[in-house]
Amino acid sequence: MKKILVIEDDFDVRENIVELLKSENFEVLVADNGRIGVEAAREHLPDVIICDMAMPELNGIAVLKLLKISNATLRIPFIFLTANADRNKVMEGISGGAVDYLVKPFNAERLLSAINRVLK
Amino acid sequence: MNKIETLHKQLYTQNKIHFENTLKSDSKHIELMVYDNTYWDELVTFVKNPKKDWAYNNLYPTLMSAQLDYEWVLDGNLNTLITIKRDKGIVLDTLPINKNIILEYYKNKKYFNKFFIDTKEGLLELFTGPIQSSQDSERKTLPHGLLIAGRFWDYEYINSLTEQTGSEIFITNHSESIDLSQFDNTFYTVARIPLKDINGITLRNLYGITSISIVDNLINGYNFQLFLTILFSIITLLTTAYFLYYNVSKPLNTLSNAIEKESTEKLVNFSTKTSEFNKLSSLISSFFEQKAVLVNEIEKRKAISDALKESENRYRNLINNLKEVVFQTNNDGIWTFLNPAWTEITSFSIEESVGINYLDFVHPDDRGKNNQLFKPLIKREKDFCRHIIRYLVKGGGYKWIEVHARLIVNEKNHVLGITGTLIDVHDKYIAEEALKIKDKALFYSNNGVLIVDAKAPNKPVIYANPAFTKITEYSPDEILGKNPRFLHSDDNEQVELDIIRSAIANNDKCEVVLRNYTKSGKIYYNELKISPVYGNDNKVSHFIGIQSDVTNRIFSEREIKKSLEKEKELNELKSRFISMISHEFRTPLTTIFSSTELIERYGKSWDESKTQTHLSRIKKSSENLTEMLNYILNVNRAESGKIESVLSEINLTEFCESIIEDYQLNSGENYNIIFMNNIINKSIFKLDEKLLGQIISNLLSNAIKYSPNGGDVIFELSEAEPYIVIQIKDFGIGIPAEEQDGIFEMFTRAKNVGNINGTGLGLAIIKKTLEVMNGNIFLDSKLGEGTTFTIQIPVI
Repeated sequence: MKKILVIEDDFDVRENIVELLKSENFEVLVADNGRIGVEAAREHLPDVIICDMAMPELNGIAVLKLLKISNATLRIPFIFLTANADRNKVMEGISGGAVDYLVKPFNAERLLSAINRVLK
Repeated sequence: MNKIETLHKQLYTQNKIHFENTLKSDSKHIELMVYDNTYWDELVTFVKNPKKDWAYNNLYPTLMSAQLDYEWVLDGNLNTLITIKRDKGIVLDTLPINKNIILEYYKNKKYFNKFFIDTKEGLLELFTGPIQSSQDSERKTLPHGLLIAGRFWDYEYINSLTEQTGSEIFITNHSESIDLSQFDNTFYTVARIPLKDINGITLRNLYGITSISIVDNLINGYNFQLFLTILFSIITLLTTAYFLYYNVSKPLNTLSNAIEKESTEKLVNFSTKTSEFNKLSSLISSFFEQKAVLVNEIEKRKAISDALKESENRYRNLINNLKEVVFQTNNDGIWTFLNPAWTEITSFSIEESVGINYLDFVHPDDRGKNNQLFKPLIKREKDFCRHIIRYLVKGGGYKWIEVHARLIVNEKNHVLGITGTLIDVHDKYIAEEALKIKDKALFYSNNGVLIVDAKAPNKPVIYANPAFTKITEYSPDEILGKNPRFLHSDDNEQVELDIIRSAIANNDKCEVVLRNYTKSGKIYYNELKISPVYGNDNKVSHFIGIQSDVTNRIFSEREIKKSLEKEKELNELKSRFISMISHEFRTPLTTIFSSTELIERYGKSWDESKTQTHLSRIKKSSENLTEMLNYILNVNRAESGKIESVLSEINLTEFCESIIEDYQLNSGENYNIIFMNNIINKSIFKLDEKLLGQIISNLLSNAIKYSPNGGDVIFELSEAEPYIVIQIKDFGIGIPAEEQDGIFEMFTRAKNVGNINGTGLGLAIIKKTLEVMNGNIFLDSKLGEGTTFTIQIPVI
């Protein structure tokens, strides 16, 4: 079973993602802020990381940077979720090393196909 | 040697001389005629404007009377203007000589020439003379043209020569000799005169042979003269003798007789005779006296005349060298005298001006004025007049001339004309006009102008225009003599002052905007331009300062800058707000969407509780969305001032408690909201429930949000007539001191919020809401320690 780490601060959004992924037979790890998320990534070395961009304390870009400087985590595919469709922000994420992104609200198909693509 | 031979020798020389002289005098009269006629104003006029009629009426008669055969008049470039011939009048015959050679002489100022040329019609003797005006007695100016007179040495002329000289005349070519055989057996003398051409080369030889028979006549002639001389002497002698006898010897005789006879009669007679003698002797002595006096007189007169001549020369030199024009006109206003300064100033030559009415040289627009100014002089009401008018300049244009004029009056007090001086004041006049205009410009300028003396110590103001007084309220008296630094009062810190000081020290110009103060102490912004002015010694003599009051402009600029900055800020905040709103919308939407999808995908296999969970989530998120929308509407209402207050009676204590409960529930364990109720009595007040609820909720929400590590929040409710007072205190991040004033502005968030979400609108909406409720809000906060908000709302 593939391991997916979900880093998202909003309770409801996070819960729904977790439920979706579990229903699709993924092992799901959660973190409700960026710092915990980075620690969890280092510790559990998931196969994919799904991360929200706008979070207090450590936002998605910062998390991505931290992951990329560590040998262990830099190759883990990073998909980010954003409420902001701003092109610049998106480019920031992609140039930071993210492999894909999803704009909220996204549909389940979209999320699942993004993950599956990455896992191939 | 025999007598005749001696005589012959003497007479040979005399003869030769006589022959030559005769010939000379014969041509002399023509030379004189040419000299005179070329010194002739009317001929000058003719050269300028050749009129055939004048030439025929004036030149032809002189040709005939002088027994000339030809006359040519040439202009200044030696082009033939007219040819006149004896018996024919005006003809078209060309000048039979090489013009270039004449031109040579002309250029070298050799105007008077006499030479012979060979023509088809015979040997022609030519005389040339320059055509000048009668004024030019010294022949100093360039001639207007050339007059050439010509005379043929034909048979007729030679005959007349023979008669005049009394000799036989022969003319041969240069190398030929004459046949003197006819003069054998007579005594004769030969005189030879070469006739030269224009280059000085002998063209012909003129021989004059005089024989003795003629010499006899000459002797007789001389004898006759001798006879006359002797006769005259005898007469003189006799007259003198008679005079002497009558006046000297006769009285002497009478006197001696009287002495001899010794009679009283005779004594009386004697005394009479003595008196006669006395008369004679006094006559003689007075005669000698008079002679001495006469001689004296003559010498004196000569001395005076010499002195006069010298002084006349001196005066003439003086007048000719003067820069000012010295003039004379006659009674009709015709120039009769002008010195060379006239030509210097007007470029008209003296010749073309003298003889013309002076008014012709005055600018047409000034002629009337000039006559007006001359009237008192003419009418003899004033002795002299002085005015400035325009005189024309040759070739176009004019000059301003200062005229000083006086009447010329003779002993009988008759007016002979006008005399005076003309001075060229053109440059000065023009400069003065320009100066007047510039002065006016300065006077009426809206810019304040100061002129400062750069050379005086302390650099005082020497001129201030009216605009300066208008701007600064200082009158000229209050500024003149002072250095303008008092204008910036004690506002000394301005960097512009250094710029000014440096520029003045380096004799540079500068442009600054600085703060100045009017006399009444009012500040104004002075846009000041300073320029140095150099004197004739190439050193800075003055500084000119031009000021304008740009206070309005500066303030407007500042306002604009401020608004631009504010606008920029606002725009930034707005875009942040919008992205924030976007986020706030998308988050609940995501939940609604995902929950709905999950129900769709997996809902069939769920139990009841799971489905309920999701349905609740959907509901809650929808409520959040609605709240957000309302929030935005509130923002809009607050911004456009459309908040309305609806009063109702509420139990304030219960109202606050219920809201606090809600927040406590939602915020979890980390937070502890403490309610302190200080209202002792019944807590029923007439208030707008909705608005109050929004305010309290927002403040509580902030208190919790900005205490990220949890902690206490104290909610204190009090009554202080006429207000109810609510105080919400947190121990969170606090607000930096410098941002506390602006924290109530729209879209404003303190810089220390870090990652904490917020729209920057809550406090702004609260403030606006309170305004509607006639309430107040106060803030007390310390960075890192916490914040206390206190609101007051009046209640009835």
